Amino acid sequence: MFFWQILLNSLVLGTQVLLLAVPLYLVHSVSRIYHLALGASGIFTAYALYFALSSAWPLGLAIIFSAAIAIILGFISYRLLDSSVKKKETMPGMLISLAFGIILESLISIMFGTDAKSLTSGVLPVISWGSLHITVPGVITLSAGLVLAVLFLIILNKTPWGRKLASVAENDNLAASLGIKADSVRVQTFMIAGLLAGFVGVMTTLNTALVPGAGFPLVILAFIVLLTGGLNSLKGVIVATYVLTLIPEFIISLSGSTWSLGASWKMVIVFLLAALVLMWRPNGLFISQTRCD
Amino acid sequence: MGYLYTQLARFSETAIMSMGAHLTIAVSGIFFMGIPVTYSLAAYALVISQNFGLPLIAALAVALVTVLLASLIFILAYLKLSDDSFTVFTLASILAFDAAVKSWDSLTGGVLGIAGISRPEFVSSLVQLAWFQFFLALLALAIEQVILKTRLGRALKAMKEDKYLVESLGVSSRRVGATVILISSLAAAISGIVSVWRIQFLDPSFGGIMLLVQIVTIAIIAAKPKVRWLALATLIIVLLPEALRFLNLPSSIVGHLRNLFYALILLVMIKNISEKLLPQKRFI
Amino acid sequence: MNKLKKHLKIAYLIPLFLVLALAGCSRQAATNNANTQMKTIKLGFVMPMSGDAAAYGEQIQRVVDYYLPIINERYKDKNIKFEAVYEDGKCTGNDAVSAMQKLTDIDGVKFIVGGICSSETLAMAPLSKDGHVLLLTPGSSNIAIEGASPYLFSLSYRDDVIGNKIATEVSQYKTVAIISEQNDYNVGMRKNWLAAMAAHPDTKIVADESFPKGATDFRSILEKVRKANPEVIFLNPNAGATAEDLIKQLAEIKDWNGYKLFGQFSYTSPEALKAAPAKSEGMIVVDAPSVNNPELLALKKDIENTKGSLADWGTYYTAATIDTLNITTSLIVELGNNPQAVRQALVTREFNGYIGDNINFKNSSFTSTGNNVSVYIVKNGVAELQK
Repeated sequence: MFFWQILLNSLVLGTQVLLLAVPLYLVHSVSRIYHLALGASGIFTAYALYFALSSAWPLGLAIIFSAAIAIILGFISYRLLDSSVKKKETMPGMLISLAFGIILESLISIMFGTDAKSLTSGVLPVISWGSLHITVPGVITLSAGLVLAVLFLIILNKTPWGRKLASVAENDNLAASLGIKADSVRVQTFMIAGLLAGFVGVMTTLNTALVPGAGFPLVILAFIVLLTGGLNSLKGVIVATYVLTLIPEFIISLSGSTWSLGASWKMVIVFLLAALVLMWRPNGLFISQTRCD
Repeated sequence: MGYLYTQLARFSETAIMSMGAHLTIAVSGIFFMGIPVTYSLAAYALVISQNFGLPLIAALAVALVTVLLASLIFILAYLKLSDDSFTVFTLASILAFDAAVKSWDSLTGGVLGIAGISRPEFVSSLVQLAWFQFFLALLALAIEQVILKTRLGRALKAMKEDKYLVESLGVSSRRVGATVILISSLAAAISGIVSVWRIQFLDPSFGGIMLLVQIVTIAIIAAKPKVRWLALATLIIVLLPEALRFLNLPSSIVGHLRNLFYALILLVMIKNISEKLLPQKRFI
Repeated sequence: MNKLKKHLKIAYLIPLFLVLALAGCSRQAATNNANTQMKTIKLGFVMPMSGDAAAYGEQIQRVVDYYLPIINERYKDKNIKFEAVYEDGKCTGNDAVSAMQKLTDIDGVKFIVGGICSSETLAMAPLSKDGHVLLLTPGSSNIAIEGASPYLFSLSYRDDVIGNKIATEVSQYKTVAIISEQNDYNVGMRKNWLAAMAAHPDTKIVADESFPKGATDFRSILEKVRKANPEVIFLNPNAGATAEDLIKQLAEIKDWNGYKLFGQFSYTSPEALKAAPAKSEGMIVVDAPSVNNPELLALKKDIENTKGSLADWGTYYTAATIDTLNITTSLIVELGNNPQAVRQALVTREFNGYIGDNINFKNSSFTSTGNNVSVYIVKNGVAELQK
């Protein structure tokens, strides 16, 4: 039972990372930029929801308000990164997004303070099957992760919008010559990424606590997962997410009393795993074929 | 005056370290993010060696050898991995090193750190140390100036433009990249050692992601492969948070407002630089 | 392009000139107001105002902003006014050192209240050894502070005293587990507790788990501890969100009972206990000596009503902060803005305060009252004093 409980907990954690890795992947696909502000955007959205709920707004209105904030943040991110995208400047783009993330985190700290907030009060509702248990937000996270992973795999491979995104990702000039507006595709992608990040922010803080700096550790892990999975492969991102979250959790949890590894070693294990994977597959676990220009 | 000497020392430390970042990120386009690791590693190796009773020279040697070994690992990663994978590998190494330092507290002191680190006798006062660091900074900038004028410098600039063309001209981009990673690591190591002499305290916050942000920003702002741009960029980035200390901000939010201003100014500078001052690219 | 470069160069040099100009115009610690002859003395405060520990800094500011005007009113007749200058130590040694240097060299401060995190205080200690500045911390409890500098004093209790007491309390049981945050306070507490447990070999430590500072998910750690089946679990997180999350997630494991919970300072806060009231019922909390002075309690209540919550900082530390201000300002008024003279008074005299009637530093960098502890038991979401 211990093994299955650890597996269940790790799947929830991994899905939280996946839900942030997917928008990171989408943004990178169309812009070649690592959008490190996604974590902070997600937490900002969660704070928007907190603000609406604590101001006694109806739940539906609060959700619409926070969704609107998420989309606006996505649009602002696009405008900030626009010039870096067009010039294919990866490093300045990453720095701009990092600076934007710091701005969002500082704004949250100024407006709400740094003490933890909670979207719920008291102990979370738990669903049990025998000795196994999982929180209700954990169930929502798992379900959402599964649905979104399948949905985006279908969207990116089977739908016209997905094909537009793939063509812009591969060669935006050629796509433009075929009548596909790269800017329009990018704006849509950024806004969808913002919405997804907002969802992750809310889900993560439902499961734990709402603090301004909660987004950064998640986005760094999502970033590592993106590279390890393969920049051009959503399948790779999904697999890498669970490899890099499950294995460290199991190593730490199953380590015994004589050689017990604390949770503080988790990042070291993630790093070593990522290094091993990248030494074996330097371009990531899954590589999509691309045409040479 | 102590405050001004501290700023001189901080400028010098950052200039030494940023020399390496400038050569790798700005000049050659190698996104080597492991500089904070070698910076911290050298400091920890020095202090731990001295705590074990080694004299200063031996401890310095241990620190430099440790950093050499670490840079060999980075070089191996550079040779084996793709560019983006190398970037994430080196970025993840910062987090992994931080976690290892915090967890291995019997050796490193963990989050409590190591206090009361003594300075060598020849730089026992802040004034002496500041001038010594300034001399090292000038030396580092001079070395970069020389490098940029040599074959290595030309190869680095060419690599940023087109790595494959460089290979076709018979220059091994792998050897050039390995050399510059090594130089960068050693520069960071020297900076780490003199920094810990100034602060006299070492804990996991020495180094880390925020230091990376600082030096990468300097490298990006000093976009041109010119030493005076690097010096100017270092001056701005080091003094900017200090300038913000003097603003009369409401005390309850002063820390957050400073972070906000710093990030805003960075964002504006980076957008400004990238739009106006990047070297022209040749199109083939 | 050349004009643009020139303009940009000039723009970029502005921060440099700003710093040099402002640093050159060093504002003196004591300035005379020509009209009223009021002497203003600056007190420096180094504390975490951003980052994970910012809640402490915010709450200390509330205490100082409330109480300093009371002190100024007290000394109005002597034409002395104290002014607080805050600097962000960010709970890191590096930033604390920089903050201290700015306070002493630019603001001309000779007395600094801080650091708050032990890492801040330990980093600043060597810089105070020459006596140009005196450090008084109301909050740093790490035992490495002892003797770190002749000009460093702490009004906090000592970590080893709490660790010893908790070890004594859990020694009644056969198996114990500890879950700690990787924070300077919690790491210090863990070390002291482990050292104290060595004197109780009959009690076995079956699990010793740590998690990174600021972590939010402890479910796997809790399962690991559960597997070890301890009779006692000692929760050792930082105050605030982490403490609340840890006990909430422990409460989620509904089919795991039959153990006794122990906690430290983080679980004196009603917010932490209310997070999981059923789970925290009966929890034993060991903390600083209880401060029941009605005057202090009334002050604390008024500060909370006018300035904001002090939940994370707590009653003891609020008292320690007020005592720090009272002792420091009274000695400055009596002896002048002179760290050496004030230090001499600190190591030879006794003082009365809210944390105790015999505050002295005759034999230690820590206050003599720092050797006392209180044991609380949680009843109906409140930690009630037992002994």
